[in-house]
Amino acid sequence: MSVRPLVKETTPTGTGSLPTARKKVTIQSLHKQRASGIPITVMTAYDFPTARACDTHGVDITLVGDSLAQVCLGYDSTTRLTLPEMIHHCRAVARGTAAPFLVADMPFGSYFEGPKETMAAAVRMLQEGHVEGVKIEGGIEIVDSVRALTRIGIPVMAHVGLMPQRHTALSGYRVQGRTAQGAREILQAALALEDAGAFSMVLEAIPHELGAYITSRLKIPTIGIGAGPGTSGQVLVYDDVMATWLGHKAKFVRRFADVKGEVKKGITSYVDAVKDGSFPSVAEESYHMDPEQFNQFLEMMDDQSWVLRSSKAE
Amino acid sequence: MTITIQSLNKRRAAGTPVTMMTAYDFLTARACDTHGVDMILCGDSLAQVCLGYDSTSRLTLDEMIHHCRAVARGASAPFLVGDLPFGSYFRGPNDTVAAAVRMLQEGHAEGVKMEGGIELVDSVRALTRIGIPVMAHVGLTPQRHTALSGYRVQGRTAQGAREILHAALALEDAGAFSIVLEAIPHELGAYITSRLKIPTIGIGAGPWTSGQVLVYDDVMATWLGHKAKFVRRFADVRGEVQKGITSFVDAVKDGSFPSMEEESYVWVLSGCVAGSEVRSKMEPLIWVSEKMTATR
Repeated sequence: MSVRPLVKETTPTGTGSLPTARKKVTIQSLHKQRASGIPITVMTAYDFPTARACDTHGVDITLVGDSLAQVCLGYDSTTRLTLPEMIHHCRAVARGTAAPFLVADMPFGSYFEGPKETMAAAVRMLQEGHVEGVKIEGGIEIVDSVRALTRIGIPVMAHVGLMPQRHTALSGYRVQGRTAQGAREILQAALALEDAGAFSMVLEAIPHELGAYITSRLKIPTIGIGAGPGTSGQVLVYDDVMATWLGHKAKFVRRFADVKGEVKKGITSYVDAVKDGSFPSVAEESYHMDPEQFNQFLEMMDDQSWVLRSSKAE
Repeated sequence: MTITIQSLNKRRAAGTPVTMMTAYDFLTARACDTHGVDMILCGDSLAQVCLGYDSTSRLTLDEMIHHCRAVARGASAPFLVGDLPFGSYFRGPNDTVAAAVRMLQEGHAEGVKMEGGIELVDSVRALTRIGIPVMAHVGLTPQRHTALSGYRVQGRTAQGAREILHAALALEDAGAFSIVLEAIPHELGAYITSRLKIPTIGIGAGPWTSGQVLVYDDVMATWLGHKAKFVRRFADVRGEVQKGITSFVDAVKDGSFPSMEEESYVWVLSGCVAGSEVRSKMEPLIWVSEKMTATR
């Protein structure tokens, strides 16, 4: 099976050779955006078409999120995703990304051993996965690793608040920072990670007041998800935006399109049209044989009396 | 109802067209299952539509197995066939069997599809002899498009038509349980179907085959390439995706997403003692919160 090739001028032959009318997003342009108060948009992608869609429609940062473990691969948890699997999807997203800044999640288990092993994994993400930066979930305990990465020039996006990779240990996906003590821990982690060189930070599932406060205390941009409108930007998972994800809708998700409904329409109309014989049409969607050639063929088969019946030949 | 080879044969006997669609990950597979497709093909078109390669021939067996597993996780009722990718079945029966066994054991497919004619007969026989269902594929064979300088309709001449028919009969004899006919004249599609006992699945082969197959991204209009004559776009997912992303981007930029009331968590609950304790400890907070929303 195959699809017909892309039109010549849009054929992707590698990272960076896609056409784009937009300026490439860099860490510097993200800082400029924060300074001028223009919110930063981040969306997840996990393959070529989702990456193309993010690029085409103006997303600033494309994130290859480890949510792909569930939405793309059907695993029961984000923690099942391995580093080679993540790299495979990063490459596909990179083939489809030109303008957005490209970040990928370091999967659960790839950064626990310490700075050296974390650096090795991150280097693989850049060299084999073709991403520009990595995101790591964690607080004070990952500061040394973050510092090691930023010291060798690997951009790191931190992630504090609710950390999905830890959901089993925490018995669920709970809002964080609801108490004064909890809020303080999150703030301190954020400041330490900024000091270690993180270029931006995801704040997940925290009260909006805390989201705004942390944002005001940091120089680097904050990207919120369930952290209120006071952060420097927002991120959502693609399949939540498109309403294709079948699971529970978190409070902070808004469905901006109904792709699930459109997919249902596509498949059910195809199935119906095939079943009632209206697809493919003989005139518009089928190829024809020169009658002389076909008669010659039937003669070769010694089947001259075979006739194409007007109804299905069954 | 779980689809088996027997149910496919029953469909053919009853004259009920068989529906087949490609899928390449969990959600596309789940959609096919939910909406009544009989067979799912984890097609090597995923090289282009999912991974962004320039050609179907770039896909490796390991990559195919990775996607096949995801498809298998998403689909239970449809019969699941996986394409043996280019390069995985050229060495001969033994290596082809090894590749097919991997597709079943690691990829969790139920059957495999291979493109080719007479030259494949020994391999097909080796597979079916050990119980691996094989779907054949004749007519236009996309993995060979470079050698053939394009995607051209096949079987337009009497000689060409005869070669395709002979291949189909030989592959049926070797044990194939069904056969894809791609890009051939509809008359030939009808004739071959009448000469075979096994179901034929057409793509650009006219309405008289036992069933039809299309690539998911062609059906959904998400594929950006040239539209082949035989493709019909049954939905506009690309337009819906455009709507989704542009509305998200606009709503974030104008500050209307997330809303404070419906989509944010609130720290200070009125009447809550713990809340006022928190409030007093983080005194500059309310000012900050107002300032941030004021700058939008």
